[in-house]
Amino acid sequence: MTTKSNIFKKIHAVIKLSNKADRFYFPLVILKSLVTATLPFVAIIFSALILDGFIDGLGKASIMAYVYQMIILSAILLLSRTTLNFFCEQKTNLINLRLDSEISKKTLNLDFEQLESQIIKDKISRASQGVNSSGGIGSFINLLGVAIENIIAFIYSFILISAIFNRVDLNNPDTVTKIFNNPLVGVGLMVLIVISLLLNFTILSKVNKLQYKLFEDNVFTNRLFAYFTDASLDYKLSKEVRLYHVNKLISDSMNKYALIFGKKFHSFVSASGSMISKVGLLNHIILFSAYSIIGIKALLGLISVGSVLLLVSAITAFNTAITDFIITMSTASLQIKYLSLYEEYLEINTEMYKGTLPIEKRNDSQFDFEFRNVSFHYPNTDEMILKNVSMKMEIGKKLAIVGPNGAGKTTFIKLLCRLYDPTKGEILLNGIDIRKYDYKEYINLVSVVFQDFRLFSSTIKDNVTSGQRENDEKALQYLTQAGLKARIEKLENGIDTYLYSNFGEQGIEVSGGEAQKIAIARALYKDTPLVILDEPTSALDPISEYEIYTKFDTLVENKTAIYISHRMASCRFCDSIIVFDKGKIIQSGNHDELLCNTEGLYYNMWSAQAKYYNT
Amino acid sequence: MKQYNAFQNTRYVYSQANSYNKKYKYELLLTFFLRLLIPITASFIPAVVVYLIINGYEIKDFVLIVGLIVLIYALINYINTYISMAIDLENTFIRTFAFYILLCEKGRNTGYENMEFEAGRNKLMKASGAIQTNWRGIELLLKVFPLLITSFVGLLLFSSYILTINFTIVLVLVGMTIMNLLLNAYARKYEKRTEEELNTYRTKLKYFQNEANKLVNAKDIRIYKLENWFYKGIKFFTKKFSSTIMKQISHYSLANFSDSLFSIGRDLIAYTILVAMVIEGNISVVQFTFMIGIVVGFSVWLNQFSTNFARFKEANISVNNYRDYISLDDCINNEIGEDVEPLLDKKLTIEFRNVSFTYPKAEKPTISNLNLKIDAGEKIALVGINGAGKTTIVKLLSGLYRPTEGEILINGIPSDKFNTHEYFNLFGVIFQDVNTFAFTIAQNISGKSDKDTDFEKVNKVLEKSGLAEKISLLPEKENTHLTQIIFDKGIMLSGGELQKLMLSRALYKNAPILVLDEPTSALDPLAEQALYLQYNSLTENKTSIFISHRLSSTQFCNRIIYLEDGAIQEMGNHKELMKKAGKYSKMFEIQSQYYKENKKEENENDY
Repeated sequence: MTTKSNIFKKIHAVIKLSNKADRFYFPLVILKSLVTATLPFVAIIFSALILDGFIDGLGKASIMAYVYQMIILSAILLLSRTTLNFFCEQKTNLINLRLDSEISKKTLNLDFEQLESQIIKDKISRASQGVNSSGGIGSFINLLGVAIENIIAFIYSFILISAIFNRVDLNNPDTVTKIFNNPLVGVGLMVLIVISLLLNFTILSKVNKLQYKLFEDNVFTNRLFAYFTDASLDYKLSKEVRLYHVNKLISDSMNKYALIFGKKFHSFVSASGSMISKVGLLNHIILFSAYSIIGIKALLGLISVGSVLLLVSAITAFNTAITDFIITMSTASLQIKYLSLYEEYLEINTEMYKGTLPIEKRNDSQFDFEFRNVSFHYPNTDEMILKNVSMKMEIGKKLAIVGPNGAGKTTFIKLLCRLYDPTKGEILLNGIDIRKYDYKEYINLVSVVFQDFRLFSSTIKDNVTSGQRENDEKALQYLTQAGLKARIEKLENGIDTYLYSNFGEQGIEVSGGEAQKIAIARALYKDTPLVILDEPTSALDPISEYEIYTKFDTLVENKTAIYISHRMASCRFCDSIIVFDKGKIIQSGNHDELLCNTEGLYYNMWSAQAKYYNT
Repeated sequence: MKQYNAFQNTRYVYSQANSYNKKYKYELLLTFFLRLLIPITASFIPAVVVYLIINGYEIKDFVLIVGLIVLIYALINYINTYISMAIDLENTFIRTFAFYILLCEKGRNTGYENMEFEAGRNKLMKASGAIQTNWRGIELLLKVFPLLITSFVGLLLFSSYILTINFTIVLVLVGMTIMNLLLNAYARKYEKRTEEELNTYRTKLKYFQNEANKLVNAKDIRIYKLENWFYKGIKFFTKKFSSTIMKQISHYSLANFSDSLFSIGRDLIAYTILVAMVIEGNISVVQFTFMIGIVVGFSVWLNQFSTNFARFKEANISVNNYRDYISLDDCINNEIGEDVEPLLDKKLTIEFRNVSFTYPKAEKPTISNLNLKIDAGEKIALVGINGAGKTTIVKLLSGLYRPTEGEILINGIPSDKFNTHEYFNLFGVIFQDVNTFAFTIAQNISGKSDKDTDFEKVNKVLEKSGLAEKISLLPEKENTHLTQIIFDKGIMLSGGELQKLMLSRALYKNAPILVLDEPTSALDPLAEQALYLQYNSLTENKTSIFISHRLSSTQFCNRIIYLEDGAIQEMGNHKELMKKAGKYSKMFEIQSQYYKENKKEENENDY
């Protein structure tokens, strides 16, 4: 349980965040609290005056005077409150939206390696769920506003209650009257209130603990439930769900986790329900005591009837103010915990990209890449995917990489892009370890079409230009080279057509092959010295594939290119070939050289494919 | 879109709730009465106190009477608090079990066309809004409707009591109510007008936020420096979304202002009249005290009524979207159909008879007037350029799409005569896009839970597909989870391994018709060859269709079908088509170019 000073420090941090986002928000909330807290007391005080006015026989004019004063004051406060509510609601909305986005922005900046870690994935999930549960910074500031309201109400009611301690001068009071005239009676009532408040506090803390535990216990279950929802409703999985009748497996799993959550939620509600009801009971005991003691004083003539209502209202308000304050602060400390998950996530440090060397600008694309004794295993396993790989890339040449599945080809590429750092050995650019370079500049040198590339719900143009430095002509040029000219010409909006229809624009669906062509255009548009294509024609028909092959020289001009493919044909138009197997480079050379070794893997793979074309 | 009115929707929601939990309605009824009693009692207490004091009751009588009333009040509150919490809990359960899970079931069982095509997807998106949180849609309705009824009855009760004392006050209160309802209705209309716009912004914002968080996007985002594009998108749509919401809020604020003005007026008039009545002796001070409480209580009821009315309407729209989707025509055959059993271990004939298919909103058909007969046990290769319609044919054949015209016959029986779920049993399909589930490898292969999985069979198919070695190296072997969603020690498979897994799945199903759509695109040459060599044994006793851009695969098929623009251009076996020197042979030549022993001179003609 966070210590009190800890909570206040964190609250202070949140207020600072809020002020940074909008410096009027918190002050407005304080003002709103002031107005809201004052409003009910106007009615309390004037009601008492009016009631006493009746009993004391005041004339209509005097009583109506009270009425007018009460109404004018209430009117001012009421209208102010409505106005302030309006502004606060708007600002709450905006701040909450910004919070959600911060999580996404953070994810965009993490090291790639971190994204695959289960710990980080959990943190993302908890941060998002935490934001949902806590309602975000906006609702937290509102909560603070309520707390301030409680404090102000406390002050008002305390001032009013002080009347209970008054001693009236009496002639010959009897014992009972003497007792009730004694301020100690008031003190006694206050003590009772304090005890009740302490009990309330204990109970409410327990409830909050339970609630947080419920949240913690269910991060996993909620995530799973969300997954199964996806599995049921995502159209991409729906073919398999139907054809392989996975229906029952999914529904069983869903039900299982729903029940698990249900049980936990159920026990939470049973436990907290009875506790919260007890809080209500305590409050009624206070109410009864207040009415009794103050009522008796009135019966004994020590205070007026109007004062009875005033004092009881004041005591009720006092009790409510403190109880609400406790609830508010408990909720706040709970929300702070949720918000900390969010802060925790934002504070994750990236470890990888600390290099600062700028890349020298060269027009001759003379960028020299080299692997030196590189070994690598993924973060979560010990299995070495690359074992002591050394090779140099010839500048301006086209390199083909072949090898069986799982040999390490794609991993090789990921290391070259610095998505991961080698476990052992180093990768050099122009003789310098790439870790020393500023990453943003380094990545300017490389463009990749991954095997599992992704396009986004935006215009074709946006996808090709990656949302930067738009040059329509250039984009169209590369799309044409990739073989999409005919398809685009048929579109009404040309390259301004939206891909996919997530938003209800007239988005188009593209086939696997068409998507690949767009991805190729995107890689080329970036115009980098090193171009890497990982199975770029796997979804293309023979004609389109042939176009890519024959245009390859034009496409990559004098860049350094790496071409990974299971289509051994690609080896024919590359300058050199390396063969990966089980994490090592086992053969290298050009096509004719490699074919000479009839025992080698290259020969095997080549023959396996070529034989069907040479019958 | 089918529109149900508010009461129909409410009845629907409550009848579903009732079938889930029979005690629910009694709990609701109880809280209804309690919630009415509470403010009445609350107004009662001070009035009684004033009465007792003014009439000089004995102290012990005073304490007793007040004690009794407070006790009753405490009891009512206690029960109400407890049951309200229980009801809140029930509401979440009802939403989850009676609705959420039902929606997912619908999603899994409805016709594939409803899932893939835009119309169905939109409806699903809207329906999802009704079940995803506890402050919208179904749960909102469950929360709000009782409050609505209670506050309405409260309004009636309180206003009828006030009527007995004075007519004018009621007039003011009624005026207040009407004004409030009108202004809120006006704000709601505006909200409705801007709802589409708001939804678009919300969806776009969520798209950017979610895609930024997805691991699959991370590589491309970093390589292509798409971070900025995401930032811009997020910033832009945050602004649009919030400004639209603010305009909606402004309209509602108008109603709030009106309420404030009216309550000032109400207090003025009520107090003036009541004070006069006390002074003139028409009512006692005690009645005055009670009346003020009731007048204030009326405003509380009014506030509750209008807030909850607005939310009720909002929930209603959401529930309507839900029902719209749930009652969507599944477009499949759910009846008992032709018997599938006898067909499962036979070689089947397939016939496309005048089949045409047009995608919704497409200008022209993707498949036009296709006529094709496939003999029992025949191995067909389907080739053609991208967009020719090959995958569409697969989806038509396997029952995912229904032909726009014409029919498909399996062993002479029209496909629509079968129950669609059973019809699926006839087909083992490997699609171009690989999709796996976060379950174990064995479960991915069988599609069933462990107790319904034949593990021997699982291991056999893993051998056949070439994945057995990789699996045997895993600590949990075939019980390893895929991805780390369900289990943090789950693994990721490479592209080639995934394709082998897809093959395993199709083999396990052992359906009489086997369709392979680009099953080797991610396989290395040796693995690819292994598949080709096995093809005959894999397709023994089956009718099979092989789609591939690797024309080498056509050589072990009986017949090749060359498709273009959704129609058959050429048909025959490899030798025949090469002799014909038509489109197929041209395509084959192009692909062979780089494989020829004697490297030809580069033919630079664009094809």
